[in-house]
Amino acid sequence: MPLAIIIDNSLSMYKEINENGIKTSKREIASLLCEKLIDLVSSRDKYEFISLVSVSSNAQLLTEFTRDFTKAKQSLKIGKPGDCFNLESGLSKISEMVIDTFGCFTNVQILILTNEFDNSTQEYSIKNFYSKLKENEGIVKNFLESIGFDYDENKYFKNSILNNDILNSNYNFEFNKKLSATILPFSFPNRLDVICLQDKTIHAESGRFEFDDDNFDFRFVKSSNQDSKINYLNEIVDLNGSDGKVFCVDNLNNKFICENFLPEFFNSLFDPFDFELKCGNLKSMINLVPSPINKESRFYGYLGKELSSSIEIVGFINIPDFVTPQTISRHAIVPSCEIFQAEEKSSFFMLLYTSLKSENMAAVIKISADSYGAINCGTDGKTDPKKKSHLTLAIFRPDFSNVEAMLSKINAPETKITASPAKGQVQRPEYTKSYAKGCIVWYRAVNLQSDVQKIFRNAKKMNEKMPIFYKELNRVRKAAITFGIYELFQGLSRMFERELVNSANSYNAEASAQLGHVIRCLNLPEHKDYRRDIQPWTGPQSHSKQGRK
Amino acid sequence: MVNTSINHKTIFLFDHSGYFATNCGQTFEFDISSKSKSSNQAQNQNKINPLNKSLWTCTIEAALEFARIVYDLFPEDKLIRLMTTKHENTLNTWNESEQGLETLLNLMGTVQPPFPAPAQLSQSEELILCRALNASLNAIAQCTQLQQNLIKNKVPVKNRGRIVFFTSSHLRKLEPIQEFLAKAIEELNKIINQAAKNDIAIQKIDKIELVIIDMVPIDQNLTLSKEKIIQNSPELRTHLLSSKSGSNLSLKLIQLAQKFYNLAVTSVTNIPMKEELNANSSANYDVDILHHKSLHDQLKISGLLKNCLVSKDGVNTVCLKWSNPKTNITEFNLTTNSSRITPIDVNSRPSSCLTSFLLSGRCVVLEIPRTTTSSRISSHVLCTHGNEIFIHSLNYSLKSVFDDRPSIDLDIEKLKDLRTNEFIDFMKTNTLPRIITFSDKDQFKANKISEKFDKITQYWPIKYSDRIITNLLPLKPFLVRCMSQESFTDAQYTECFKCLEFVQNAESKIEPNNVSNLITPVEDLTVYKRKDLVKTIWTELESFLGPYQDFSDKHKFFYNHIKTMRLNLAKSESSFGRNLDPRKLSRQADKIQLSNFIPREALEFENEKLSKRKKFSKDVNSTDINLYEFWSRTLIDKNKCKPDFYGRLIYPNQAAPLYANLKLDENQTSKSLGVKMDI
Repeated sequence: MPLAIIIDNSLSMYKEINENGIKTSKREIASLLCEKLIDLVSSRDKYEFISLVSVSSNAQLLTEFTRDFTKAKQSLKIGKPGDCFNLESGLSKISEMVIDTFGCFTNVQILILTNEFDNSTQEYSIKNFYSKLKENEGIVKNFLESIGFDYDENKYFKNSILNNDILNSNYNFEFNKKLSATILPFSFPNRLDVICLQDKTIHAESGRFEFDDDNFDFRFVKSSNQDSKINYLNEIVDLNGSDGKVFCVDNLNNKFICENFLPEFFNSLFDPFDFELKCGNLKSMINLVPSPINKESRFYGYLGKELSSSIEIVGFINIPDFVTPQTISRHAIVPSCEIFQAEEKSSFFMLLYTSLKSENMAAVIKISADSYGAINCGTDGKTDPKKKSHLTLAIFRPDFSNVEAMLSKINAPETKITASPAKGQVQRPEYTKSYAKGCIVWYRAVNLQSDVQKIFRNAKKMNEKMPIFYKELNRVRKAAITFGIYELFQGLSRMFERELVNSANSYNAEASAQLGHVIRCLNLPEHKDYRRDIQPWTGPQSHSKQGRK
Repeated sequence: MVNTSINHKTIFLFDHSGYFATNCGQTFEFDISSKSKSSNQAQNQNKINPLNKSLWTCTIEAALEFARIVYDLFPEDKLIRLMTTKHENTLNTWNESEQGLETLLNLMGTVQPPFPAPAQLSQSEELILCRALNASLNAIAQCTQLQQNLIKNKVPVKNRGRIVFFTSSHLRKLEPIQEFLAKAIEELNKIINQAAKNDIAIQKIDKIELVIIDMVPIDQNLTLSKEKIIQNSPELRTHLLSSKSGSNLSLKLIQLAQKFYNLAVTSVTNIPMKEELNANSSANYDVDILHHKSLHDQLKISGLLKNCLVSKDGVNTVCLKWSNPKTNITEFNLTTNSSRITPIDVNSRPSSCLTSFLLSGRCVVLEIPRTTTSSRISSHVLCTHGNEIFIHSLNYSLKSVFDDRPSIDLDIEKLKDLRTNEFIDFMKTNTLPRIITFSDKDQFKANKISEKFDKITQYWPIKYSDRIITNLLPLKPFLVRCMSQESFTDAQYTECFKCLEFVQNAESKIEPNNVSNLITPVEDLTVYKRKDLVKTIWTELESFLGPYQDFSDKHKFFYNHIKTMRLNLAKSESSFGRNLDPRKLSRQADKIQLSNFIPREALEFENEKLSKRKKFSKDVNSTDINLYEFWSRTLIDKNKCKPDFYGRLIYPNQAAPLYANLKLDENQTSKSLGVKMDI
């Protein structure tokens, strides 16, 4: 997956250290780590993107996401040292860059290289950043509860969405604190890891955070107990809610780092996980790019779910019919590297690819016990048909109502013996959308007028439009009763009377008789009954019996 | 965890006291003549006074407008019940059959509006209100179909709901209502805990949101400038808000619907429309639509929202530009999110133009308004799926990890060998319908589909050249048909028989499989020229059909047929081997060919008398019919499409015992009998 590295470029990184007689600095070790990492990444996949950000008091972009690995390595030298490490600015720079480059559906690996757990003496300390994040969490929690949501710690919330919602909400909160601009949790799928180049001595502050209900604020409570040390970086990684951990390196020997630490670190993070793509007994081994999980853990942090090792096709759907559920991330499907040579096994993959492509269909997949996705053939949402295409896999936000809704009718439901058979599965009566059939909405006078106008337009062509005239008339009559506007009856009858006087020429005898009949009916109390439609006048003899619909 | 949210159940409670017969203060012009012929003096004198709407009318209009939006956007699971203080019970139930805008309109048609009465309430009217509040609590306590299903499936259900009460602080004190309700919930929960703990249809109330709308005639000041939220008890939270009546109330309710159901407004701007009167010119219109909020997520994350955000009457509206309409959604690949929509002003001319345009099957791309520097970004698309209009959001990003990655290599020759057409058939028979209204979510079982797929794909070579039978063109329809679980139609049945006939003829011709019959030409033809080819084909067919034999009677029949064929072949071969000198075998074969099959048939005739397959051992090319063929043809006609007696297939050359299983296993008797009786 695309890799974004934050390098701590504060002065403390430049402090000379003596490692087994060799004079070096943590900054140099960090640069070395980066170079080696870039080498490893590029040797595994030459189409990977890498970017570098150097952070001191300010964040400085060294390289945007690029596949030019030499350029990336060279850029390591550009960064200028500054006085302190401002993690917040670094993370916001990364966040901005990722969203600008990849949007919000690409899983990105973020790596922080620093030497500090907590630079608590400084203004932009990690501790201050952490308490800010904690405070925001409290505000968000209260916000959600106040609008009737249950705050679920395990449920991910895209951060900037919430910020926006809270800022735009018309609720009048009694908060004395406003949500400060925050970057974590990130608004795109990610994995956040930290490599901490430690000194031998760690001076972490002891204490814990307590939520102060009155002020919606987290307070730091100092503790004398030495065991409850807070590793702020760890807490920040936790708050991000996605996957990731803090790697502490206290042996700063070059050889150790290059030969022992780095390969292990690299493998644990970047080893792709082989999925089995299966459709019944048809199987292919595949990789996802960027991979949502790695070999070490099957937990897809951003989704908050453990993924199963097989991606199972549970149905196919025509793309024009596809009402897409909310997508979390998108991945390219490539045949698994190891088994690529064994041509036989990758054939199902090819079969699926050609079939989906030629039919313009998508395959609905199950990727864990309760999360779903879809595979289609295309170019990541872009519309250019000439472009090269890939098999794309989209993972949907697990939501009870969307995918399962789509799949629910595949098999005719088994007849279950229900506890109360009388209350069987009654469906809502066939409901046409209000916009498809012209429903009555009168709170704006102009809509009322157009409904009245429709009646009079049909009245003018009474000879051929009589059924429609009565239909419209009764529609308005019913609506007036529903809304309790009885005044309209009188008003309409007066309008008909005036119409007969003013434009008598446009009505023949038959039409005039009908209008006269309508005027009479409108003044009769019986037609103020919802069910009693006004029937067309059928001549003096058989008034009561022959009615048209 | 699966659960129902608070907006699952909403109750509208209308205050039916006399005060609500009061004029709302806003007049509604409905006389059309004033609009069309305003110049006419005489008519202006005759002008009919505009309508006065009562407060009651305003509340009904607003509540139904709210319901319209909800029902348009959520065809299920967002339920609404109506109730007035006059009635002792709600007008409808949570049953899906009593939901829908049409139903609610009809219900309100049966309710008489309140009569004017003094503003002072009598004691009895206070009691009436208490009764109504109790009734609405009972309604919330009742479980909906969805909740009952969840409980049945042991999913913990939080019973929550919302009561929207239209009243006036002019008429009643609002605090006692809240106090009463808080206490009533407590009491009711106690009773439910004692008496109805195990009743699946009633659950104790976990949370109620009481929304009190304090209505004010249009010419008076609001009683509250802002919404006030009061937590009365752990179970009850009250939202107090004040609204002016008239059309303002409907607008207020639209805003509430947005809050309650997480909706957002998108304004489709710059829609070019032809003028009715002036067909040559076209003017641009805007249409505001409501949809789920999450459709704007991408704009929010990418920070582009600020380019689109406009405040219309205090409502944040995202303006997106109408761009060229496309005819087909397929050009967009997979979208990233979608939601149903409904126009805010549903009957306005621009709205109905837009909706009818979309309903006709075309779709419209929406663009983010461009600033001077930015490039063109298509962010959303509107389209119709089965008479419902949806908005989809599109993925837009500068770069993608897919860029420049080599696309999957397509080796044309290799592709030809893939059984793509068969797979496409498989996909088509297992195509999911479009999103569907369903009442019973717990019926869905993905496992079932997997099982089905497992079953169907048990014998599924990926390439034509993998097996002989898959590579034989004449057998293709047979294989495809047998893969489906559906039962055979007569035509399909005949077709499949024809396919098998090919194999039977192959048997007689010994070497029929010339290259033209092969789907993928293979270099090494030896395998197709082997003498025991026919035997191999029957064996492959048998192992192919084995897994599918349970699909239907006809599947079973074909399987047994093939099995018999193979067994007979093996038998006849061994008899050949015994009786004939191997050197003579080839000569014998030549003879068979020369003599137009009769000897072979005669041989087999002896072997198995009335074997089923004889019916098909006729030469389709031959025009003159011998006696045997005539006879077997008659038999075919007679037995057409009727599977043979099951017993004969199992015991080809002997009397088949009836009810063979009867003695063996008492328990299975009925089952196995059932199968046999069918045949």
